Amino acid sequence: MNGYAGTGTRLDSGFTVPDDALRVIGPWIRHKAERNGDRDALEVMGRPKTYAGVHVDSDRILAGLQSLGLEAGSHAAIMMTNSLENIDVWFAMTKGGIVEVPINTANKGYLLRYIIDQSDAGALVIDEAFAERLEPIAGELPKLRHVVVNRTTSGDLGVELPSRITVHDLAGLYVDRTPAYPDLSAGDTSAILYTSGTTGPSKGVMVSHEANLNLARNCVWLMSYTSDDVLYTVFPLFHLNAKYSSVMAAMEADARVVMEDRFSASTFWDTTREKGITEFNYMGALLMMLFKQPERPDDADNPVRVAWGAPCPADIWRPLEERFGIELVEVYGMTEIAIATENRRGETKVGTAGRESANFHVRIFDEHDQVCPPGVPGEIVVRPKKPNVVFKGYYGQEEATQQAWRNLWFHTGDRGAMDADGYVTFIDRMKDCIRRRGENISSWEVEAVVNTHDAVLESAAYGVASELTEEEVMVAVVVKDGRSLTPEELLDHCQPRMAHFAVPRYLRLVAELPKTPSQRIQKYKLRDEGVTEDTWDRVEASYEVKR
Amino acid sequence: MTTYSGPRTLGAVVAARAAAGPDRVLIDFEDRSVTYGVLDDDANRFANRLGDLGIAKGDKVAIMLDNCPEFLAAWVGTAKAGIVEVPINTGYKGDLFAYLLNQAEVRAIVVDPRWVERLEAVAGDLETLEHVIAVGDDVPAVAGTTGHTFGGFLDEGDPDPPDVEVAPEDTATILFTSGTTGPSKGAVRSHRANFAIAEATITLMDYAPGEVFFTVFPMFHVNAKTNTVIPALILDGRIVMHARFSASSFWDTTREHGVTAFNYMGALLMMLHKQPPRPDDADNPVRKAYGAPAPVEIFEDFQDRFGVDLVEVYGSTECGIVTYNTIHEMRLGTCGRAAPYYDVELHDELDNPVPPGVPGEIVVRPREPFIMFTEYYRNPEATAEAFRNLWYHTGDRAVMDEDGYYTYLDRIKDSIRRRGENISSWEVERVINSIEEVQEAAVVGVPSELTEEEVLAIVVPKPGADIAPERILDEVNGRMPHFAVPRYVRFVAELPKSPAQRIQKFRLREEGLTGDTWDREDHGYVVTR
Repeated sequence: MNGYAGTGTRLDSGFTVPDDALRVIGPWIRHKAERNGDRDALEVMGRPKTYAGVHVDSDRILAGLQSLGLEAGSHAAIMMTNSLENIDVWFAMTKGGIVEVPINTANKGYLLRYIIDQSDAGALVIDEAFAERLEPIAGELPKLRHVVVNRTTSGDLGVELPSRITVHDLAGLYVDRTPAYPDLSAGDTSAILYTSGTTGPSKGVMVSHEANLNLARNCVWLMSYTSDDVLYTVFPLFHLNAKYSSVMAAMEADARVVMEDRFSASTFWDTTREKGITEFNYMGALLMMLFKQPERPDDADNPVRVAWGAPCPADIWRPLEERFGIELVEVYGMTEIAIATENRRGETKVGTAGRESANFHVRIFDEHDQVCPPGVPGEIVVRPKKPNVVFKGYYGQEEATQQAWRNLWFHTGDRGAMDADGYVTFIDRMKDCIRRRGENISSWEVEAVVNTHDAVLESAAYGVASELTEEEVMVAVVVKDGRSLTPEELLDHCQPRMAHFAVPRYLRLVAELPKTPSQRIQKYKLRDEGVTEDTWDRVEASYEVKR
Repeated sequence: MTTYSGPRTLGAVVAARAAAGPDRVLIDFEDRSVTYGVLDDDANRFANRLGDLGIAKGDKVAIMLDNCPEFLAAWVGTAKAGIVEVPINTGYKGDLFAYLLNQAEVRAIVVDPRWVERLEAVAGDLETLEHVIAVGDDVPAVAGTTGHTFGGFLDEGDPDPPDVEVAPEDTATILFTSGTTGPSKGAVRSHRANFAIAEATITLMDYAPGEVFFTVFPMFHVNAKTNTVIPALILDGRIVMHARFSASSFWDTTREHGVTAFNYMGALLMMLHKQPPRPDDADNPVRKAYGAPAPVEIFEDFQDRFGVDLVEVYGSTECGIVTYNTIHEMRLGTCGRAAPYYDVELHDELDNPVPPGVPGEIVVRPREPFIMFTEYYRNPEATAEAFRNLWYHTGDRAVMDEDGYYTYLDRIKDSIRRRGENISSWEVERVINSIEEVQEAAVVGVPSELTEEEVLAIVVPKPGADIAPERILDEVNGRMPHFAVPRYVRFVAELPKSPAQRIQKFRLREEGLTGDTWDREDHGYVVTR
């Protein structure tokens, strides 16, 4: 017998969800609208919306989507920056049982085509600014029937799409008619969230209505949100964080969320004072940027009481809390599982991601799936303590699901260690992916693009430490015999084919890649070498990456 | 005699036993005996000969035999080479037979000469089969394959142990279980998982070194291997293994061989119970019997009459033993409490636990790695579905009392349990629906007088079509294992359906055997094997 024992269904002390809580998002929105009516729920890019407005406008869009033939079980994608319209469309789909596929707005080319097609999306709602990216790929999107454009200009869109795709104006889909409400249950899929693959293309994480609501409720409990709180986020709505731990968490607490789309370290604290912000969500780079600002006498004179996120470097944790008069609540999680470990307030251990949450049993495994002793690093694995909080599988990639669920544990692919008190420290990703400013970048996908350059024989992409916490993208390239390649030529090749954040910062031309006898590239050797003397740095070279 | 504590692989335990006592008898079959030494030698030869043919670790080899020494040698041989054994129920034929061989990517099959013609019949459909190894003197000639005799195979094989590293976590076997909404699924089991069953059996039965086991269960199922052969190997025990069960001679067999324990299923106990009482019924060496289900109505009588303690458990091909009573603590009518290596719960349809006294689906989580099946082979959709919320959903329904004892109720999944065989109603329906005169059909289980179930087919003929029940049975008999042939047939004008047009089988089960139901026993219909 070993440390697996007792991983059954369990109701922990602390965060619990009452039996009669609503577990489907549509009825929950209606309930929130009835309760809070004309109070503001949202302020997105400076535009407010009331609880009633959130309910009414998402109903109107749902009626519009239904008029296009979308129904419960249909899949539809959203490619939009943070806006009230984005939230209207998201909630409309969720109410109608239309499975939402949010797409990173930086995607283009192969990856954009792959996600739209692999997700079986029949419709795509897209900001006007991104519509031109559809032109080169639309021919390879046989299942896409409707493109709904969120217009900011009038006149001709100027984008040519195949005739089987009908183009609509989002404004025209706000239809004043009561939509049909399907009968949904807690475990039904609300969204498919794409995360970078490691040995293959991106994977679509299927999450349920209950998982979304559970994350929102977990945040409310952990942060003690009340209707007096004002939450703040700059995170994009195509990730889980902004949707469920900011927007829905605020609504669950009958509070308000202020949402922008860009973080400014120099104006952040003025913004909090101006808008009365009491909480914000962070990632490591954001805290580092705040901490590097010149100290001001009024640093602690702000209304913020708590901040939620990961990872905060251990050495600035307490100094940052003291300087700005805030409390950091650090957690560990990922798209597949939301919150797995959490530092409960008053029980924080600096530098750790806290202890297992009310949602998951957490263990650290060696490569044989045996439990590691305290302090010994291994893979972080989890088992849910209740239904629907773990993802439902990778959409259309059951092989990957089965692999990740071996021995009935979800294997996160993250390395961590657990101390004798159960506190988990995140160490790094075991999976071959690169983490840059909150984005997971698949090295497989970077290599796939680099390798298509005519002069490239082979390449390896990997992460190297960034001065802003997390990593920067580095690529080692072997050029074909008799060919030459400049770093700029290669990045010019990459830019139109990949998301801006995936474009490598560091480039190193090498004669050959280190390999095992079985010809597998030994990336750990390249990572160990890091940024060498002969590495080209696009920041130093002032090479500009366009968004 | 000592208890084995080496690596948990079949090859290692046989090698260890052979080294310690090569002349000791492991198994007495009806006509032949097998010693540890001969088994080890034959297994090495079999493994090496496969290696000569380029069949190596991770490849699949099927065995389709009744219980016999050759089955044992081939099984242990695959294990020594790290080759995955794919046992095939000897009832299989036709398209389902071909499906199993293709789905498991079987490269070679060891087969009884009686069934070579079944291979010939589907030869054109076989995608991966390269070698046919027949027990007996004749070299099989199945189109597209190379034929071998089992004897020749051993003669040509090197007797030294094959030089292959086999770890307990490596796949030992793929066991096909009846599918319910699709074709049969291949449960992938490791050596570690097989040993987990054997070790649990020893614990709960309190088996001791030197035990003498009797089994009549076919080696193509999990039970005979993991609940009899591997426990005997671990305990340096001996086995009496028969291919057919004879209720009239059973007790004489136990006396002759000094049998101390046997494995049962419900029908077997019933057959013994129905034998005319004899004064010497209790004068036998048997002390313990392991299995399920033990019919409550004869339980006490049986124990008293034959002097045998019955122990009842609940398990499955995928999980092995999930709940068990013990030889020292048996609560009648239950299958005992959760095994210590599993977290076991009963869930409602929303995957929430139900309180004691309320029926729910049995779900399990292993407390150790690799002790249950790993996956359904080449069917990750089925694995992911069964693993939802990171619980393995057994598809079986049970109720638990306040003390943690489980009582098995029925299968939620749509399969029929007849005399120890799980029959996929989906597969039987597929065959019946292919008959020209049939509009549609539903197949359900109805209670059998021998415990478990019999197969009932409810058939809607096409308008104006004239079809006899025998025609339906002939079709199934021609294409499916004999045990899947319906006993009962009922013709109806239409099947009860839900608004979503799903057939409401629960209604058909409730109606059961109506006055207009045809029973093949009443008409002397003979099923051919």
